[in-house]
Amino acid sequence: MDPIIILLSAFLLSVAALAVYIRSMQTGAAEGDGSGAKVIFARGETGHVDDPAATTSSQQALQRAVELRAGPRGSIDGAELDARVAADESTSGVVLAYFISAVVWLVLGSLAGLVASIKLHRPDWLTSAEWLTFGRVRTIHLNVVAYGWSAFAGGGLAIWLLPRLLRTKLQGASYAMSGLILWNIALLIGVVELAKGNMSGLEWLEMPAWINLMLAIAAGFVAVPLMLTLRRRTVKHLYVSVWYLGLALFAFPVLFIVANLPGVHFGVQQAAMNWWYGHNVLGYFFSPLALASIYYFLPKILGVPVYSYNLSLLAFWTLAFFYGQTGIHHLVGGPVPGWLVTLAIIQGVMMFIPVAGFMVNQFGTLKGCWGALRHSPTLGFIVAGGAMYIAASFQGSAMSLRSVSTVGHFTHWVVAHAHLGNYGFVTMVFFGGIYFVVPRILQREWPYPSLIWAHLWLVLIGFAIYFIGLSIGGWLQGLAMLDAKRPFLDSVALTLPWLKSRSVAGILMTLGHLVFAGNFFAMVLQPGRERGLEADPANVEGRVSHAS
Amino acid sequence: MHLELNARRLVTGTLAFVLLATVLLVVLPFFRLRHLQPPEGLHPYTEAQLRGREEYIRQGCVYCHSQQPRDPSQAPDMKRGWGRPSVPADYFYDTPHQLGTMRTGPDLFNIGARQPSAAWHLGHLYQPRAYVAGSNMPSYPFLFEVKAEADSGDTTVTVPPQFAPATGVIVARRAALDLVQYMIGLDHTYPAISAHPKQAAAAALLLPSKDPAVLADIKVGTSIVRDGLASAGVAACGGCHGQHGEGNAAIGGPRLAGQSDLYLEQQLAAYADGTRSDPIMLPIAKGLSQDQRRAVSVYLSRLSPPGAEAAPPPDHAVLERGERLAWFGDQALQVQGCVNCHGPAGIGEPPRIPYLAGQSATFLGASLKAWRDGRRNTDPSGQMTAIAKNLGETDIAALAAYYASQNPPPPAAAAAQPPQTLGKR
Repeated sequence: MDPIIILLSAFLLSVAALAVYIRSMQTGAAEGDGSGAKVIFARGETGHVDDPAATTSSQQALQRAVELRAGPRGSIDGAELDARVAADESTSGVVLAYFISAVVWLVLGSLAGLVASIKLHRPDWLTSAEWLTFGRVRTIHLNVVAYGWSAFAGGGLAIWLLPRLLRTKLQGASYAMSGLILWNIALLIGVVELAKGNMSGLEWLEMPAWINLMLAIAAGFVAVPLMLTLRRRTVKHLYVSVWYLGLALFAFPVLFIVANLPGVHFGVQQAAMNWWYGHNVLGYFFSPLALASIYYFLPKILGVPVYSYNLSLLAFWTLAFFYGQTGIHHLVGGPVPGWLVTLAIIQGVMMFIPVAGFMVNQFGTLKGCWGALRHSPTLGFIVAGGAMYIAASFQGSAMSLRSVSTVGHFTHWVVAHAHLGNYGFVTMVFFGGIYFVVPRILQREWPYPSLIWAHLWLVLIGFAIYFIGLSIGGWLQGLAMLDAKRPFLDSVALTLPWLKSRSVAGILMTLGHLVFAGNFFAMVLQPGRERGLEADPANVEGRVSHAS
Repeated sequence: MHLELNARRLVTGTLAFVLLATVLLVVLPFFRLRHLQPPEGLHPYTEAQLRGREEYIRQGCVYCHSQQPRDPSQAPDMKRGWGRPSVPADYFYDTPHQLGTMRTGPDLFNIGARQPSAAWHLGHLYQPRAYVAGSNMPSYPFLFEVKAEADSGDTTVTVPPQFAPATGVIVARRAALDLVQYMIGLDHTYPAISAHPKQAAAAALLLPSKDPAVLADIKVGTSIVRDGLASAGVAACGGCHGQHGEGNAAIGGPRLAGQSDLYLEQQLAAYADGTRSDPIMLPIAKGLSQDQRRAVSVYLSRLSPPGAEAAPPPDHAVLERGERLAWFGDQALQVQGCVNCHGPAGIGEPPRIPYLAGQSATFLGASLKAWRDGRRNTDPSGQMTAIAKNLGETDIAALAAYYASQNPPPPAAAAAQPPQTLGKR
């Protein structure tokens, strides 16, 4: 059978099924009073801002900033708040352990990234030790920030969010702890193996097979409490964040297991599998975790329900459908069957739909509340992350086009884009989430609120330099490579200034991470002020419970 | 009720989408590429090369070097000496794949052909800047050791004095030697003929062109060769002549790939007006318009014929007789040598004289008999008819066997000729 026919029929069938799906989900979501977007709030809670990371004065300013938009505040249902406190208590120990792991891996991963960056313009620096060679340090950087920092930060946020969203307590927390311990051990050994050069040779799947097996078992442990908690839910409606968490939860095992099947993948087929995995571990795992966080924290901080709930639904299903088929654009111009690349390009462009949906929602929710950004660094991280999700996705759609790819493929431009997604979007959102969550689980305030702002500005400025510089350098590199009259070395020489600017950016970002880690461990190790009742403006308004 | 439905939809919906992506991107390529065979020119890795490939992976070379030259229509990789665009069969022995997605350094798919010197590679690994000023490739001193003097069996490395250690000699460790063996073995300059012709042939073997008229002809020609022309009752040429004009020895369908466009167009005209009499070709040639005949001819003329069929070797004496007839003819029979018109070893004299080399013995024999019996009258000089009438059955068989064993010429020979047409376009 002709692949084009398979392709076309699969595509048409799926788009039709997708339309039916969205239609039916919309009617389902609009059930009752159509208040799906409000399930994250207790009765009477909308209109109350909530940023545990902000100081008392900032919280009051924040409340004033959203007053016009959010409308009058009522008194909050104390019983619902008590239930939420119980949910938080059931997760606090586990989530803290996840965040501690995440922060440690973040610092290690940043240093590895910085070393790798410097090596590209100082190739004779640190060459005597084999494990410090570029090929190894770069790989350690990627694996540590992806499977250390992002997985633990995203996993911790997922474990914290799910009981809140389902209005129940976390079930089987010990499984989550076992998973955490096993995952940490596997990753630690894995990194040592990478340093020793025991790499698989497949990008994003570098760690040895037996390490991957350990990681898979650990992921299985983490999935158990999430499934158990899902079964014990007491809410009628599954909030949009739950869908994204579910996507991450169900997709990751499929991706990871299929990718690691021993003795199955070969040659060019393996290359196709490689980019199906490499792209989808972002789109089906890290991105959904971050999107789930945005859909929770953005409305929660502002006290404003998400702008268009139906649109968030459309965005979810279209992302789940289109994203999975885009990975092969990493092999445009390569020896893969042409229809695979064409499919990737089509679906890559279709990604406009979910991203436009998200964009309308983010800006719609923020409408009339932009002033709030001045008072809440947490919101700053979340909104910056959301904006960079939009930018990264639109850029990704453009990059999948053959004409753009002809220049950008094989250059640092792609590296810049990958960081826009994984850093600008995912990592920024996780920063914001952690700033929100930690005061809730420790019942303490951040000891140095000004350092949160310092962190935000260091990484924002650092990343702006990173992205802009490397994008320019990469594009020039691509143009030089396309001109056969110019020697190849031209394409190397002209990237050097931009690679240096990337190292400067890396220093700023790493500095930001050190500030973050310092603040975090100061908070964990040294009890700061107890969070008093008056510290929370919501309480002043006649709140009956002791915490939100 | 709604609640259950909602959760179930979440699970089934997301899983269905994830699985759909998996089927399209992982499972389908698996089944479509599973039966690939290695191209003839591709050799398995040696033990040392395999160890070197391991080293290539251990050092993470793939993060800066691709192994997949792009098509000339997309990027000038070929002009940089990186080689023709790669095809899936080229990677037959490459698991794990090392295609790469980054070119901080150049593509290495043909580094062995471009730079076959092991000494250069060793020195370059020790200190890239000793050989390529401005390179930002890491140096790999840990793949070497500096000794007071070399022992027997050591491979020493010579680098320019400013990069050499103050005292002693640089000796390559086995990892470096293996890595270099792997790199100088990276040579994919053989033709991209896949044993699975559907995968590689169409794109890889077609002589490229920028001329819009030629491109239009190729488009029309491709379609007629592949699908025929149902409206005019024209069967697909590929049915008897091969999807890529490679011929079909079993049914005597001759090779058309790489024959000159003028010759092919002349033959179609001859079939249509009966000067070349054949019951199968007659309706086909009549069904095609003049422009369509032209398009088919242009397309086929630009395809590369594969090498000679590996037929069971005929009797040595028969081959010798064929070779003698082909080169010198036979005065006693009043037959001149075929080379006089068909070129040395039968590679043809485009655009008017077809190549014979690599045609199947079945077709060549049948064709000589058609001349003899008056079913072909396309030679105005009458020479072919005279020759065929003077040849006996055994001589016909000998000539057929000889030319079947010769390799056909590349299509460039035909396409290099200035364009000629039979009639106005």
